[in-house]
Amino acid sequence: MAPDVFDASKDLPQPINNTPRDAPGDAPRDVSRDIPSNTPQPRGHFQGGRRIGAGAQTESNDSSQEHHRSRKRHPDDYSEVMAAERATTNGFAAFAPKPKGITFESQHPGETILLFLRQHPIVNVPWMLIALLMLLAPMLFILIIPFAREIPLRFQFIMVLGWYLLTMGYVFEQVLMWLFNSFVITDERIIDIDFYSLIYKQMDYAKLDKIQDISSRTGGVVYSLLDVGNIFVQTASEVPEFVFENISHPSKVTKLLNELVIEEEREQIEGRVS
Amino acid sequence: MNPTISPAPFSSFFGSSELLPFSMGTALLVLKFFIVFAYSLYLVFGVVIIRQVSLMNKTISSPISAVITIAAYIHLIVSILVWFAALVIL
Repeated sequence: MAPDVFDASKDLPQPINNTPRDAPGDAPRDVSRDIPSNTPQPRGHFQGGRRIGAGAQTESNDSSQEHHRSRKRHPDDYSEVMAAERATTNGFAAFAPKPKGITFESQHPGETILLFLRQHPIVNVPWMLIALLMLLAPMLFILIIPFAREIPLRFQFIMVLGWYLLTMGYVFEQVLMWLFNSFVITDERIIDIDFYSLIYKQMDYAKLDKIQDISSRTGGVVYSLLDVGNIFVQTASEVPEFVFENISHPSKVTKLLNELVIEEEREQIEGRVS
Repeated sequence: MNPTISPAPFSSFFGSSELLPFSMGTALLVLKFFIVFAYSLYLVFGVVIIRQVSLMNKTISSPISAVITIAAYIHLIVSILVWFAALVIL
């Protein structure tokens, strides 16, 4: 049963020694988002044997106003998925929780990337097969086409060279498309980055509080075995639906999104958002 | 009378003045022109890829950005070499 995160009013305010952690590289905290000192502070709750929801509280100390400030919580404090995952430095990972060294255009100061997603590497198999056929094509061409041997050797050489250059370009283009068509989940937004062709780019954003429904779909033998699926996120933003296609661990991503939405609602209730 | 027609070899096909109004040398010259033209277009594609990689790296900066940029430049250099080889060898 999901915990009632909105039940903070039942908890009595009491001093907590648990101060929020900051992710490496976090920007200085926004003081304007702090709760006034007279706001009752929730104690948090337990979820899955782990204390969830206590990171926003500050230590009560009359000598300093700073101890009454409620701060932006670390994702590990409210997300089981994030708490269970280790930070990754692999730049080629299709499922990269807490990625190090990855930033994106229009990233806000202090905005932390929680999950960086690409399509599962299995989607690359079709173009890899095509590339393999392209590599073998010159040999097949000489075997099949009767007059191919009649072409002067220097022409054959240059044409084969050009063909392999074309193959190289095709492979490079496909790798680029796989690497950069990605989905980003931050502690504030979800972002869908699409490169449709060489020069056409589309970036869709939706704030977490605009998310209305999240559903996931997995189908097919191979995709079920590899834990690959699609996630559909209905939003109240300009883009009505975000589709995360062929991503790894769709259940984890769905759970993370749910946790983020709950945290966002919690922030609004507690007045921790501007 | 033998009704079957044996296929003519490539060289004799182009070399036959009865079938075509140009010689084998002319055909290869035209072929060279098309190859160099096609490789010139591919050079443009290589430059576009450089631009695309720059745009992509600007959109998403990651630890592999440098590797991708180097790969794009290698691709462009190979394209230039192949274009130059076509110009010289053909």
